[in-house]
Amino acid sequence: MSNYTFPSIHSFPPFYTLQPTLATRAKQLQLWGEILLQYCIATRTSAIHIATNSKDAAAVFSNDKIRRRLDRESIQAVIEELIKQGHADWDSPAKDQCLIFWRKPEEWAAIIHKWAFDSGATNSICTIYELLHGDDTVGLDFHDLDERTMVRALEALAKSGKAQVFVGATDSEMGVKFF
Amino acid sequence: MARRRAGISGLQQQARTNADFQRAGEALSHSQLEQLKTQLAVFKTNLEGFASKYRKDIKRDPTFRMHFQRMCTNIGVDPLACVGDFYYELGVQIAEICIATRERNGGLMDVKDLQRWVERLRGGKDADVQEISEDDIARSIKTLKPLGSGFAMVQIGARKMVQSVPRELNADFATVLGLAQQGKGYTTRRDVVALLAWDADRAQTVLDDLLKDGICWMDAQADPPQYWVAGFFVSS
Repeated sequence: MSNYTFPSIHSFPPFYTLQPTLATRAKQLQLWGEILLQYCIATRTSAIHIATNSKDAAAVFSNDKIRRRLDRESIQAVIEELIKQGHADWDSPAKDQCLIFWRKPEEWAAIIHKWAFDSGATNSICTIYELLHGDDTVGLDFHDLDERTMVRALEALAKSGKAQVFVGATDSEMGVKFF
Repeated sequence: MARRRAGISGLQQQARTNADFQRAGEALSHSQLEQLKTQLAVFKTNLEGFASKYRKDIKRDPTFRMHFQRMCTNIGVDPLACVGDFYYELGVQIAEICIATRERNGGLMDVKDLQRWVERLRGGKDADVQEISEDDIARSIKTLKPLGSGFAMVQIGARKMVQSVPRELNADFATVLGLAQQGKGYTTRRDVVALLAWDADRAQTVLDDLLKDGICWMDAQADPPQYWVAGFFVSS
């Protein structure tokens, strides 16, 4: 289903044990973070559910050939690593679901703002639904992007004063005005 | 049959003749030496010409390069500038790779693995990519030595490893690594105790040190826990 090939370290049995040596562990988490992010980008996966051991979580964090899997605590450490890099965020207080950002929200923000500016969409209000699924954005990188990721991106834009966000009944109805 | 002339004049004559011969001999050897020098100079020039003419081949073909290098060493000619650059450049790439992978293998890398990384770094699967041999890697590591980098080739069992952390692999380290090399790239405390007839403390100390140095990774999901030498696990 995906065109992502796991790097060879994914078949290295100790890769599934959080390493006791700190320098090695740091490298290990960085490598795991890269794998998770690249997998999500390749399969266009925006959220990972750890608790239910979703298909995606199982695909990334276990290897049937060598009969190894990363335990929940270690998976959380990997996600914390991606959060530190700005490429993920928890989506539940229990830390069993997380969002994976193919690009950091600020990077999406810049891309969306440039589009708004270039297409003359500034100073008028449009909804998130229009941004994600409207005819005007077909073929663009952020077309059909995960809605929660889009909300983060627009919040980042609002923070830097390049947009104003209007709360709607649902996220889809949230409106935005670009400056 | 020659008859020896007796008397003073005869002796003087003989001395003159000897001196003449010596002079003639000197002149001859001098001119021979000159000739040889000229020949060598011509040869050197030709060799340089050859080197620059076949520069691409020398750079591309590791076997050709090795023969050329050997020939230069045999006749005492300095390996020519362009080939020297080659090893210097390769040395820098080796250093880059070793440093970049140090945290994952503790600075101990299989030379075959390194070879693959080097080739990837130099342009992946392009048709024009220069092939790099083990011999090239060994030579480049020698050129890194004066930098005090601590880079060295070490033999562990049947494997040639490149060590990029300046450290003495002490005897216990080397023995345990050799054991892992004979197996599947890992060992356990039980194996160390059983196969080396060490007491458990000594075995555990060495294994802990190998973890601490980043040379080994631990697989705690195996029973008993396995200590894997990261540098033995070759990336594909």
